[in-house]
Amino acid sequence: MIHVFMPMIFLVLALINGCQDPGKSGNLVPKTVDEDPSLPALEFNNSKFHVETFGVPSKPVIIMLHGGPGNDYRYLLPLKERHNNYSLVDDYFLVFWDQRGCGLSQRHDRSELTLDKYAQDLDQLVEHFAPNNKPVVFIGHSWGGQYAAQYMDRHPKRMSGCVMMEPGPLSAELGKKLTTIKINPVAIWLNDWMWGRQLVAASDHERADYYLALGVLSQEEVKPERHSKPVPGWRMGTAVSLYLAMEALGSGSHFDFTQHLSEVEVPILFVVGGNTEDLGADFQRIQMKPFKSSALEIIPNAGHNEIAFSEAGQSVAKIRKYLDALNLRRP
Amino acid sequence: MTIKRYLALAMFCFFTQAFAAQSDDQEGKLAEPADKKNDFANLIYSDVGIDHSMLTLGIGYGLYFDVEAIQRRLLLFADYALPIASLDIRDFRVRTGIRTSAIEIGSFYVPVWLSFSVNGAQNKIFRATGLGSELGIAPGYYGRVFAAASELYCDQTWAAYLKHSQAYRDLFYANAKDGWYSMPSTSFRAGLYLAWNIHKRFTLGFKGGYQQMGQYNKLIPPIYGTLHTEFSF
Repeated sequence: MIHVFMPMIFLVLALINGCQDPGKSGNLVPKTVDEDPSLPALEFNNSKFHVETFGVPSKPVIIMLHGGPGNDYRYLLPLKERHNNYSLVDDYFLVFWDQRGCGLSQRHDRSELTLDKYAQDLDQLVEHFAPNNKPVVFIGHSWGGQYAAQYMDRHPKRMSGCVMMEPGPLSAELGKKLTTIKINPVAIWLNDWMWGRQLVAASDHERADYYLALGVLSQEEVKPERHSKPVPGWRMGTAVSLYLAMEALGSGSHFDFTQHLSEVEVPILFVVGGNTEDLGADFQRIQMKPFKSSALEIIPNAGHNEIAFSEAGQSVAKIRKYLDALNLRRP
Repeated sequence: MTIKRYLALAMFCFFTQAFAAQSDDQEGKLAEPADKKNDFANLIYSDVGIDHSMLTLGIGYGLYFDVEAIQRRLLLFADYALPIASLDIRDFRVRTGIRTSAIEIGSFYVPVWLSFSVNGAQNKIFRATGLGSELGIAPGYYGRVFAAASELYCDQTWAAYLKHSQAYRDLFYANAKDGWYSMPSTSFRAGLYLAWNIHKRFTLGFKGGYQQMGQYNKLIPPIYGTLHTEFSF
Protein backbone atom coordinates (compact mmCIF):
# COMPACT_ATOMS: atom_id res chain seq x y z
CA MET A 1 0.00 0.00 0.00
CA ILE A 2 2.82 2.37 0.88
CA HIS A 3 4.05 2.13 -2.71
CA VAL A 4 0.75 3.52 -3.87
CA PHE A 5 0.23 6.20 -1.25
CA MET A 6 3.72 7.72 -1.06
CA PRO A 7 3.80 8.93 -4.68
CA MET A 8 0.29 10.30 -4.23
CA ILE A 9 1.32 12.19 -1.10
CA PHE A 10 4.37 13.61 -2.88
CA LEU A 11 2.19 14.61 -5.82
CA VAL A 12 -0.22 16.44 -3.54
CA LEU A 13 2.62 18.15 -1.68
CA ALA A 14 4.24 19.20 -4.95
CA LEU A 15 0.91 20.56 -6.17
CA ILE A 16 0.36 22.52 -2.97
CA ASN A 17 3.93 23.80 -2.99
CA GLY A 18 3.51 25.20 -6.48
CA CYS A 19 0.33 27.04 -5.60
CA GLN A 20 -0.14 30.62 -4.57
CA ASP A 21 -0.97 31.48 -0.98
CA PRO A 22 -4.52 32.85 -0.60
CA GLY A 23 -3.54 34.35 2.74
CA LYS A 24 -0.81 36.55 1.27
CA SER A 25 -1.69 40.14 0.37
CA GLY A 26 -1.09 40.93 -3.27
CA ASN A 27 -2.66 37.72 -4.55
CA LEU A 28 -6.40 37.98 -3.96
CA VAL A 29 -6.42 41.45 -2.44
CA PRO A 30 -3.98 44.38 -2.56
CA LYS A 31 -1.36 44.97 0.11
CA THR A 32 -2.09 47.35 2.95
CA VAL A 33 0.05 50.33 3.97
CA ASP A 34 1.99 48.32 6.53
CA GLU A 35 2.90 45.84 3.78
CA ASP A 36 3.56 48.28 0.93
CA PRO A 37 5.65 51.34 1.88
CA SER A 38 4.94 53.00 -1.46
CA LEU A 39 1.35 53.72 -0.42
CA PRO A 40 0.54 57.13 1.10
CA ALA A 41 0.17 56.57 4.83
CA LEU A 42 -0.05 58.21 8.22
CA GLU A 43 0.57 56.62 11.60
CA PHE A 44 -1.42 57.56 14.67
CA ASN A 45 -3.23 55.91 17.55
CA ASN A 46 -1.06 52.80 17.24
CA SER A 47 -2.13 52.05 13.70
CA LYS A 48 -1.13 52.87 10.15
CA PHE A 49 -3.72 54.43 7.89
CA HIS A 50 -4.04 54.86 4.14
CA VAL A 51 -4.37 58.64 3.71
CA GLU A 52 -4.37 60.88 0.65
CA THR A 53 -4.73 64.63 0.63
CA PHE A 54 -5.64 67.02 -2.18
CA GLY A 55 -5.28 70.77 -2.27
CA VAL A 56 -3.41 73.40 -0.30
CA PRO A 57 -2.95 72.55 3.40
CA SER A 58 -3.50 76.15 4.51
CA LYS A 59 -7.09 76.11 3.25
CA PRO A 60 -10.03 74.96 5.40
CA VAL A 61 -9.92 71.22 5.91
CA ILE A 62 -12.57 68.79 4.74
CA ILE A 63 -12.25 65.26 6.11
CA MET A 64 -14.04 62.57 4.12
CA LEU A 65 -15.67 59.77 6.07
CA HIS A 66 -16.53 56.71 4.02
CA GLY A 67 -19.33 54.26 4.61
CA GLY A 68 -19.55 50.73 5.89
CA PRO A 69 -18.16 50.33 8.43
CA GLY A 70 -15.87 48.23 6.31
CA ASN A 71 -15.79 50.11 3.01
CA ASP A 72 -13.07 52.56 1.98
CA TYR A 73 -12.67 56.00 0.42
CA ARG A 74 -12.15 54.97 -3.21
CA TYR A 75 -15.80 55.46 -4.12
CA LEU A 76 -15.77 58.96 -2.60
CA LEU A 77 -13.00 60.20 -4.91
CA PRO A 78 -15.47 61.62 -7.48
CA LEU A 79 -16.32 64.22 -4.83
CA LYS A 80 -12.90 65.81 -5.45
CA GLU A 81 -13.23 65.81 -9.23
CA ARG A 82 -14.06 68.86 -11.27
CA HIS A 83 -17.76 69.16 -11.97
CA ASN A 84 -19.13 72.09 -13.98
CA ASN A 85 -15.71 73.70 -13.85
CA TYR A 86 -15.52 73.54 -10.05
CA SER A 87 -13.68 71.27 -7.66
CA LEU A 88 -13.79 71.36 -3.87
CA VAL A 89 -9.99 71.26 -4.09
CA ASP A 90 -10.13 74.85 -5.43
CA ASP A 91 -11.19 76.14 -2.03
CA TYR A 92 -10.48 73.40 0.51
CA PHE A 93 -7.85 70.93 1.64
CA LEU A 94 -9.39 67.48 1.21
CA VAL A 95 -8.38 64.53 3.36
CA PHE A 96 -9.37 61.08 2.17
CA TRP A 97 -8.53 58.19 4.50
CA ASP A 98 -9.39 54.55 4.97
CA GLN A 99 -10.71 54.05 8.47
CA ARG A 100 -9.13 51.58 10.89
CA GLY A 101 -9.05 48.07 9.44
CA CYS A 102 -10.58 49.18 6.12
CA GLY A 103 -9.38 49.63 2.57
CA LEU A 104 -5.59 49.76 2.49
CA SER A 105 -5.21 50.67 6.15
CA GLN A 106 -3.56 48.25 8.56
CA ARG A 107 -5.60 45.25 9.68
CA HIS A 108 -6.42 44.58 13.31
CA ASP A 109 -8.04 41.95 15.44
CA ARG A 110 -11.27 42.33 17.33
CA SER A 111 -9.87 44.12 20.41
CA GLU A 112 -8.69 47.03 18.24
CA LEU A 113 -11.95 47.39 16.35
CA THR A 114 -14.28 49.25 18.69
CA LEU A 115 -16.30 52.46 18.54
CA ASP A 116 -13.99 53.91 21.19
CA LYS A 117 -10.93 53.24 19.04
CA TYR A 118 -12.71 54.77 16.08
CA ALA A 119 -13.51 57.86 18.15
CA GLN A 120 -9.84 58.19 19.15
CA ASP A 121 -8.76 57.81 15.53
CA LEU A 122 -10.95 60.66 14.36
CA ASP A 123 -9.91 62.87 17.29
CA GLN A 124 -6.28 62.42 16.33
CA LEU A 125 -6.89 62.84 12.62
CA VAL A 126 -8.68 66.14 13.20
CA GLU A 127 -5.89 67.30 15.49
CA HIS A 128 -3.28 66.33 12.89
CA PHE A 129 -4.83 68.15 9.93
CA ALA A 130 -6.68 70.95 11.72
CA PRO A 131 -4.72 71.77 14.87
CA ASN A 132 -5.52 74.72 17.12
CA ASN A 133 -9.18 74.89 16.19
CA LYS A 134 -8.49 75.41 12.50
CA PRO A 135 -11.77 75.19 10.54
CA VAL A 136 -12.68 71.61 9.74
CA VAL A 137 -15.69 70.12 7.98
CA PHE A 138 -16.76 66.48 7.68
CA ILE A 139 -18.38 64.98 4.61
CA GLY A 140 -19.67 61.61 5.72
CA HIS A 141 -21.52 59.11 3.59
CA SER A 142 -23.73 56.41 5.12
CA TRP A 143 -21.77 55.09 8.13
CA GLY A 144 -19.48 58.09 7.58
CA GLY A 145 -22.43 60.29 8.58
CA GLN A 146 -22.91 58.28 11.74
CA TYR A 147 -19.19 58.56 12.42
CA ALA A 148 -19.42 62.33 12.03
CA ALA A 149 -22.36 62.37 14.46
CA GLN A 150 -20.34 60.35 16.97
CA TYR A 151 -17.61 63.01 16.80
CA MET A 152 -20.03 65.94 17.04
CA ASP A 153 -21.78 64.29 19.96
CA ARG A 154 -18.45 64.24 21.79
CA HIS A 155 -17.22 67.64 20.53
CA PRO A 156 -20.36 69.64 19.72
CA LYS A 157 -18.49 72.97 19.46
CA ARG A 158 -15.54 71.83 17.38
CA MET A 159 -16.97 71.45 13.90
CA SER A 160 -17.14 74.24 11.35
CA GLY A 161 -19.68 72.34 9.29
CA CYS A 162 -20.84 68.87 8.41
CA VAL A 163 -22.39 67.24 5.36
CA MET A 164 -24.22 64.02 6.11
CA MET A 165 -24.96 62.02 2.99
CA GLU A 166 -27.68 59.52 3.81
CA PRO A 167 -26.27 58.69 7.22
CA GLY A 168 -27.26 55.46 8.89
CA PRO A 169 -29.20 55.69 12.15
CA LEU A 170 -27.66 58.10 14.66
CA SER A 171 -28.80 55.91 17.56
CA ALA A 172 -29.94 52.35 18.06
CA GLU A 173 -33.38 53.74 18.81
CA LEU A 174 -33.54 55.53 15.47
CA GLY A 175 -32.38 52.32 13.84
CA LYS A 176 -35.60 50.65 14.95
CA LYS A 177 -37.49 52.98 12.63
CA LEU A 178 -35.77 51.39 9.65
CA THR A 179 -37.45 48.43 8.05
CA THR A 180 -35.69 45.18 8.73
CA ILE A 181 -33.91 43.68 5.77
CA LYS A 182 -35.80 40.62 4.57
CA ILE A 183 -33.43 37.99 3.24
CA ASN A 184 -34.82 35.73 0.58
CA PRO A 185 -33.45 32.26 1.41
CA VAL A 186 -33.45 31.23 -2.24
CA ALA A 187 -31.75 34.38 -3.51
CA ILE A 188 -28.93 33.70 -5.95
CA TRP A 189 -26.50 35.97 -4.09
CA LEU A 190 -27.05 34.13 -0.80
CA ASN A 191 -26.55 30.70 -2.29
CA ASP A 192 -23.55 31.87 -4.30
CA TRP A 193 -22.14 33.25 -1.07
CA MET A 194 -22.63 30.02 0.85
CA TRP A 195 -21.46 27.70 -1.92
CA GLY A 196 -18.31 29.62 -2.75
CA ARG A 197 -17.06 29.35 0.83
CA GLN A 198 -16.11 25.75 0.07
CA LEU A 199 -13.43 27.19 -2.20
CA VAL A 200 -12.41 30.34 -0.35
CA ALA A 201 -13.12 30.35 3.38
CA ALA A 202 -12.68 33.49 5.48
CA SER A 203 -9.86 32.14 7.61
CA ASP A 204 -7.78 35.32 7.59
CA HIS A 205 -8.12 39.00 6.69
CA GLU A 206 -7.00 38.44 3.10
CA ARG A 207 -9.53 35.76 2.26
CA ALA A 208 -12.28 37.40 4.29
CA ASP A 209 -11.76 40.77 2.62
CA TYR A 210 -11.67 39.14 -0.80
CA TYR A 211 -14.84 37.23 -0.18
CA LEU A 212 -16.79 40.21 1.14
CA ALA A 213 -16.38 41.82 -2.27
CA LEU A 214 -18.98 39.29 -3.39
CA GLY A 215 -21.45 40.98 -1.05
CA VAL A 216 -20.61 44.39 -2.49
CA LEU A 217 -20.98 43.21 -6.08
CA SER A 218 -24.35 41.70 -5.12
CA GLN A 219 -25.50 44.91 -3.48
CA GLU A 220 -28.47 45.44 -5.78
CA GLU A 221 -29.90 42.11 -4.66
CA VAL A 222 -28.81 42.35 -1.01
CA LYS A 223 -30.25 45.82 -0.40
CA PRO A 224 -32.71 46.61 -3.17
CA GLU A 225 -34.22 49.43 -1.11
CA ARG A 226 -31.00 51.41 -1.61
CA HIS A 227 -31.39 51.44 -5.43
CA SER A 228 -27.62 51.43 -5.68
CA LYS A 229 -25.18 49.91 -8.06
CA PRO A 230 -21.87 48.55 -6.72
CA VAL A 231 -19.16 51.16 -6.35
CA PRO A 232 -15.39 50.62 -6.45
CA GLY A 233 -13.29 50.01 -3.39
CA TRP A 234 -9.67 49.26 -2.61
CA ARG A 235 -10.34 46.31 -0.36
CA MET A 236 -13.13 45.44 2.04
CA GLY A 237 -12.56 45.39 5.80
CA THR A 238 -14.44 42.28 6.83
CA ALA A 239 -13.42 42.28 10.48
CA VAL A 240 -14.72 45.84 10.77
CA SER A 241 -18.00 44.82 9.14
CA LEU A 242 -18.36 42.00 11.64
CA TYR A 243 -17.37 43.74 14.84
CA LEU A 244 -18.62 47.26 14.20
CA ALA A 245 -21.39 47.05 11.63
CA MET A 246 -22.96 43.85 12.88
CA GLU A 247 -22.19 44.00 16.61
CA ALA A 248 -21.49 47.53 17.89
CA LEU A 249 -24.03 49.11 15.52
CA GLY A 250 -26.23 46.12 14.76
CA SER A 251 -29.59 45.07 16.11
CA GLY A 252 -29.41 44.65 19.86
CA SER A 253 -26.76 47.35 20.24
CA HIS A 254 -27.28 50.46 22.39
CA PHE A 255 -25.24 53.16 20.73
CA ASP A 256 -26.50 56.74 20.85
CA PHE A 257 -24.72 59.56 19.04
CA THR A 258 -27.52 62.09 19.59
CA GLN A 259 -27.15 63.11 23.23
CA HIS A 260 -25.26 66.37 22.62
CA LEU A 261 -26.15 67.08 19.00
CA SER A 262 -28.50 69.85 20.14
CA GLU A 263 -25.38 71.76 21.26
CA VAL A 264 -23.95 71.82 17.73
CA GLU A 265 -24.05 75.45 16.66
CA VAL A 266 -23.28 75.15 12.96
CA PRO A 267 -25.96 74.20 10.44
CA ILE A 268 -25.80 70.64 9.12
CA LEU A 269 -26.48 69.67 5.53
CA PHE A 270 -28.22 66.38 4.83
CA VAL A 271 -27.98 65.05 1.27
CA VAL A 272 -30.17 62.17 0.13
CA GLY A 273 -30.89 60.38 -3.10
CA GLY A 274 -34.37 60.65 -4.48
CA ASN A 275 -34.54 56.91 -5.09
CA THR A 276 -33.34 55.67 -1.71
CA GLU A 277 -36.10 54.15 0.38
CA ASP A 278 -34.76 53.18 3.80
CA LEU A 279 -32.22 55.97 4.36
CA GLY A 280 -34.05 58.46 2.16
CA ALA A 281 -35.65 61.83 2.85
CA ASP A 282 -38.38 60.62 5.22
CA PHE A 283 -35.91 58.91 7.53
CA GLN A 284 -33.40 61.76 7.43
CA ARG A 285 -36.06 64.30 8.39
CA ILE A 286 -36.36 62.35 11.64
CA GLN A 287 -32.58 62.29 12.04
CA MET A 288 -32.36 66.05 11.53
CA LYS A 289 -34.46 66.76 14.62
CA PRO A 290 -31.67 66.72 17.24
CA PHE A 291 -29.78 69.50 15.44
CA LYS A 292 -30.54 73.18 16.02
CA SER A 293 -30.15 73.98 12.36
CA SER A 294 -30.16 71.66 9.40
CA ALA A 295 -31.20 71.50 5.77
CA LEU A 296 -32.06 68.65 3.43
CA GLU A 297 -31.08 68.46 -0.22
CA ILE A 298 -32.39 65.73 -2.51
CA ILE A 299 -30.43 64.48 -5.50
CA PRO A 300 -33.11 63.30 -7.94
CA ASN A 301 -32.90 59.88 -9.60
CA ALA A 302 -30.04 58.80 -7.36
CA GLY A 303 -29.70 55.90 -4.93
CA HIS A 304 -27.62 55.48 -1.81
CA ASN A 305 -24.20 55.17 -3.45
CA GLU A 306 -24.95 57.32 -6.47
CA ILE A 307 -25.08 60.54 -4.40
CA ALA A 308 -21.38 60.07 -3.66
CA PHE A 309 -20.28 58.37 -6.85
CA SER A 310 -22.01 58.61 -10.21
CA GLU A 311 -24.02 61.69 -9.20
CA ALA A 312 -21.18 63.26 -7.22
CA GLY A 313 -21.35 66.34 -9.43
CA GLN A 314 -24.87 67.13 -8.25
CA SER A 315 -23.85 66.59 -4.65
CA VAL A 316 -20.77 68.80 -5.00
CA ALA A 317 -22.98 71.64 -6.27
CA LYS A 318 -25.17 71.38 -3.13
CA ILE A 319 -22.12 71.03 -0.88
CA ARG A 320 -20.43 74.03 -2.47
CA LYS A 321 -23.48 76.21 -1.86
CA TYR A 322 -23.63 75.02 1.77
CA LEU A 323 -19.90 75.61 2.37
CA ASP A 324 -20.04 79.05 0.75
CA ALA A 325 -22.73 80.02 3.25
CA LEU A 326 -20.47 78.91 6.12
CA ASN A 327 -17.89 81.43 4.87
CA LEU A 328 -14.92 79.35 6.04
CA ARG A 329 -12.51 80.93 3.57
CA ARG A 330 -12.43 84.31 5.29
CA PRO A 331 -8.92 85.32 6.35
CA MET B 1 -55.67 20.72 10.49
CA THR B 2 -54.65 21.60 14.03
CA ILE B 3 -51.26 20.95 15.54
CA LYS B 4 -52.79 18.26 17.77
CA ARG B 5 -54.03 16.39 14.70
CA TYR B 6 -50.61 16.62 13.08
CA LEU B 7 -49.03 15.23 16.23
CA ALA B 8 -51.57 12.41 16.44
CA LEU B 9 -50.92 11.52 12.80
CA ALA B 10 -47.18 11.59 13.35
CA MET B 11 -47.47 9.34 16.41
CA PHE B 12 -49.64 6.91 14.47
CA CYS B 13 -47.10 6.74 11.63
CA PHE B 14 -44.26 6.37 14.08
CA PHE B 15 -45.72 3.40 15.95
CA THR B 16 -47.05 1.58 12.90
CA GLN B 17 -43.74 1.98 11.08
CA ALA B 18 -41.75 0.98 14.14
CA PHE B 19 -43.90 -2.11 14.48
CA ALA B 20 -43.45 -2.90 10.80
CA ALA B 21 -39.73 -2.44 11.13
CA GLN B 22 -39.54 -4.79 14.08
CA SER B 23 -41.46 -7.38 12.04
CA ASP B 24 -39.22 -6.87 9.02
CA ASP B 25 -36.24 -7.44 11.24
CA GLN B 26 -37.08 -11.11 11.25
CA GLU B 27 -35.91 -11.11 7.62
CA GLY B 28 -32.69 -9.22 8.00
CA LYS B 29 -30.59 -6.84 10.03
CA LEU B 30 -31.91 -3.32 10.29
CA ALA B 31 -30.64 0.08 11.32
CA GLU B 32 -27.03 -0.81 10.96
CA PRO B 33 -24.53 1.49 9.34
CA ALA B 34 -24.69 1.33 5.60
CA ASP B 35 -21.61 -0.82 5.28
CA LYS B 36 -23.13 -3.42 7.59
CA LYS B 37 -26.25 -4.05 5.57
CA ASN B 38 -25.24 -7.54 4.65
CA ASP B 39 -28.38 -8.37 2.71
CA PHE B 40 -27.80 -5.83 0.01
CA ALA B 41 -25.19 -5.05 -2.57
CA ASN B 42 -26.27 -1.60 -3.64
CA LEU B 43 -27.38 1.65 -2.11
CA ILE B 44 -28.82 4.83 -3.49
CA TYR B 45 -29.15 7.84 -1.27
CA SER B 46 -30.01 11.48 -1.25
CA ASP B 47 -29.49 14.49 0.99
CA VAL B 48 -31.50 17.64 0.77
CA GLY B 49 -31.25 20.71 2.95
CA ILE B 50 -28.80 23.33 4.16
CA ASP B 51 -25.44 22.11 2.97
CA HIS B 52 -23.21 24.94 1.73
CA SER B 53 -26.35 26.54 0.30
CA MET B 54 -29.83 27.15 1.62
CA LEU B 55 -31.14 24.20 -0.38
CA THR B 56 -28.71 21.64 -1.70
CA LEU B 57 -29.62 18.36 -3.31
CA GLY B 58 -27.17 15.51 -3.31
CA ILE B 59 -27.77 12.14 -4.90
CA GLY B 60 -25.45 9.20 -4.69
CA TYR B 61 -24.82 5.54 -5.31
CA GLY B 62 -22.95 3.06 -3.16
CA LEU B 63 -21.61 -0.42 -3.78
CA TYR B 64 -20.89 -2.82 -0.91
CA PHE B 65 -18.03 -5.23 -1.05
CA ASP B 66 -16.14 -7.40 1.41
CA VAL B 67 -12.42 -7.10 2.00
CA GLU B 68 -11.17 -10.29 3.51
CA ALA B 69 -7.76 -8.88 4.38
CA ILE B 70 -9.19 -6.46 6.91
CA GLN B 71 -12.34 -8.46 7.58
CA ARG B 72 -14.51 -5.53 6.84
CA ARG B 73 -17.40 -4.73 4.56
CA LEU B 74 -16.73 -1.53 2.69
CA LEU B 75 -19.04 0.85 0.97
CA LEU B 76 -17.65 2.52 -2.11
CA PHE B 77 -19.76 5.56 -2.84
CA ALA B 78 -20.02 8.45 -5.26
CA ASP B 79 -22.36 11.38 -5.22
CA TYR B 80 -23.17 14.62 -6.93
CA ALA B 81 -24.56 17.70 -5.22
CA LEU B 82 -25.66 21.11 -6.34
CA PRO B 83 -27.58 24.03 -4.89
CA ILE B 84 -31.12 23.88 -6.18
CA ALA B 85 -32.64 26.97 -4.58
CA SER B 86 -30.98 29.04 -7.26
CA LEU B 87 -30.11 26.38 -9.75
CA ASP B 88 -26.74 26.94 -11.36
CA ILE B 89 -24.97 23.91 -12.79
CA ARG B 90 -21.64 25.74 -12.50
CA ASP B 91 -21.96 25.23 -8.72
CA PHE B 92 -21.43 21.56 -8.03
CA ARG B 93 -19.65 18.98 -5.92
CA VAL B 94 -18.67 15.52 -7.16
CA ARG B 95 -17.38 13.18 -4.53
CA THR B 96 -16.22 9.60 -4.29
CA GLY B 97 -15.06 7.75 -1.24
CA ILE B 98 -15.06 4.74 0.95
CA ARG B 99 -16.75 3.99 4.24
CA THR B 100 -16.51 1.24 6.79
CA SER B 101 -16.96 0.55 10.48
CA ALA B 102 -13.75 0.94 12.43
CA ILE B 103 -15.18 -0.43 15.67
CA GLU B 104 -18.21 -2.59 16.38
CA ILE B 105 -19.35 -3.33 19.92
CA GLY B 106 -22.92 -4.60 20.04
CA SER B 107 -25.05 -1.85 18.58
CA PHE B 108 -22.30 0.66 18.99
CA TYR B 109 -20.49 1.36 15.76
CA VAL B 110 -17.83 3.77 14.71
CA PRO B 111 -18.23 4.32 10.98
CA VAL B 112 -15.40 6.23 9.32
CA TRP B 113 -15.17 7.52 5.81
CA LEU B 114 -12.72 9.19 3.50
CA SER B 115 -13.73 10.84 0.27
CA PHE B 116 -12.19 12.94 -2.45
CA SER B 117 -14.09 15.69 -4.17
CA VAL B 118 -14.07 18.12 -7.04
CA ASN B 119 -15.96 21.33 -6.36
CA GLY B 120 -17.04 23.98 -8.79
CA ALA B 121 -18.33 27.44 -8.06
CA GLN B 122 -19.10 30.55 -10.02
CA ASN B 123 -20.20 33.85 -8.61
CA LYS B 124 -19.64 37.56 -9.16
CA ILE B 125 -16.02 37.56 -8.02
CA PHE B 126 -14.61 34.25 -9.25
CA ARG B 127 -15.00 31.03 -11.14
CA ALA B 128 -13.27 28.21 -9.30
CA THR B 129 -12.57 24.53 -9.30
CA GLY B 130 -11.29 22.89 -6.15
CA LEU B 131 -9.83 19.54 -5.23
CA GLY B 132 -10.51 18.36 -1.73
CA SER B 133 -11.01 15.53 0.68
CA GLU B 134 -13.27 14.78 3.57
CA LEU B 135 -12.46 12.63 6.58
CA GLY B 136 -15.30 11.79 8.90
CA ILE B 137 -16.37 9.69 11.84
CA ALA B 138 -19.86 9.03 13.17
CA PRO B 139 -19.72 7.05 16.41
CA GLY B 140 -23.03 6.14 17.95
CA TYR B 141 -25.85 3.74 18.55
CA TYR B 142 -27.14 2.00 15.46
CA GLY B 143 -30.09 -0.02 16.71
CA ARG B 144 -32.62 -2.12 14.90
CA VAL B 145 -35.08 0.63 14.28
CA PHE B 146 -33.30 3.83 15.17
CA ALA B 147 -29.82 5.20 14.98
CA ALA B 148 -28.44 8.11 16.94
CA ALA B 149 -24.88 9.11 16.39
CA SER B 150 -22.61 12.08 16.61
CA GLU B 151 -20.69 13.02 13.51
CA LEU B 152 -17.50 14.92 13.16
CA TYR B 153 -15.71 15.63 9.96
CA CYS B 154 -13.20 17.82 8.28
CA ASP B 155 -13.48 18.95 4.69
CA GLN B 156 -10.23 20.27 3.28
CA THR B 157 -9.88 21.90 -0.11
CA TRP B 158 -6.26 21.20 -0.93
CA ALA B 159 -6.02 23.34 -4.01
CA ALA B 160 -8.33 25.47 -6.08
CA TYR B 161 -8.01 27.19 -9.40
CA LEU B 162 -9.43 30.70 -9.19
CA LYS B 163 -10.22 32.91 -12.13
CA HIS B 164 -11.31 36.35 -11.03
CA SER B 165 -14.23 38.06 -12.68
CA GLN B 166 -13.83 41.23 -14.68
CA ALA B 167 -16.22 42.94 -12.26
CA TYR B 168 -13.87 42.15 -9.37
CA ARG B 169 -10.91 43.50 -11.31
CA ASP B 170 -12.80 46.62 -12.38
CA LEU B 171 -14.22 47.48 -8.99
CA PHE B 172 -11.64 46.11 -6.56
CA TYR B 173 -8.28 44.72 -7.57
CA ALA B 174 -7.10 44.84 -11.16
CA ASN B 175 -3.95 42.84 -10.33
CA ALA B 176 -5.69 39.91 -8.65
CA LYS B 177 -3.80 36.76 -9.61
CA ASP B 178 -5.58 33.94 -11.40
CA GLY B 179 -4.21 30.46 -10.83
CA TRP B 180 -3.92 27.64 -8.34
CA TYR B 181 -4.20 28.46 -4.67
CA SER B 182 -3.21 26.06 -1.92
CA MET B 183 -5.51 25.11 0.93
CA PRO B 184 -7.96 27.96 0.40
CA SER B 185 -10.74 26.49 2.52
CA THR B 186 -11.16 24.19 5.48
CA SER B 187 -14.42 23.37 7.16
CA PHE B 188 -15.18 21.39 10.28
CA ARG B 189 -18.55 20.01 11.10
CA ALA B 190 -19.82 18.62 14.37
CA GLY B 191 -23.37 17.42 14.56
CA LEU B 192 -25.87 14.66 15.02
CA TYR B 193 -27.10 11.89 12.80
CA LEU B 194 -30.54 10.57 13.62
CA ALA B 195 -32.09 7.83 11.51
CA TRP B 196 -35.21 5.77 11.42
CA ASN B 197 -35.39 2.54 9.46
CA ILE B 198 -38.86 2.70 8.08
CA HIS B 199 -38.31 -0.47 6.13
CA LYS B 200 -35.40 -2.86 5.88
CA ARG B 201 -34.59 -1.27 2.55
CA PHE B 202 -35.43 2.30 3.39
CA THR B 203 -33.89 4.67 5.92
CA LEU B 204 -34.94 8.21 6.70
CA GLY B 205 -32.50 10.34 8.61
CA PHE B 206 -31.43 13.80 9.62
CA LYS B 207 -27.93 15.19 9.75
CA GLY B 208 -27.30 18.57 11.24
CA GLY B 209 -25.15 20.65 13.47
CA TYR B 210 -22.49 23.30 13.65
CA GLN B 211 -19.93 24.11 11.01
CA GLN B 212 -16.80 26.21 11.27
CA MET B 213 -15.43 27.76 8.09
CA GLY B 214 -12.92 30.34 9.24
CA GLN B 215 -12.90 32.95 11.97
CA TYR B 216 -14.46 35.68 9.82
CA ASN B 217 -17.19 33.53 8.34
CA LYS B 218 -19.92 34.88 10.55
CA LEU B 219 -22.24 36.62 8.16
CA ILE B 220 -24.24 33.42 7.66
CA PRO B 221 -25.31 31.25 10.64
CA PRO B 222 -22.74 28.42 11.00
CA ILE B 223 -25.15 25.53 10.63
CA TYR B 224 -25.87 22.65 8.33
CA GLY B 225 -28.85 20.33 8.27
CA THR B 226 -30.06 17.84 5.70
CA LEU B 227 -32.76 15.24 5.34
CA HIS B 228 -31.08 11.98 4.45
CA THR B 229 -32.71 9.03 2.69
CA GLU B 230 -31.25 5.67 1.77
CA PHE B 231 -32.62 2.84 -0.30
CA SER B 232 -30.76 -0.49 -0.35
CA PHE B 233 -31.23 -3.19 -2.95
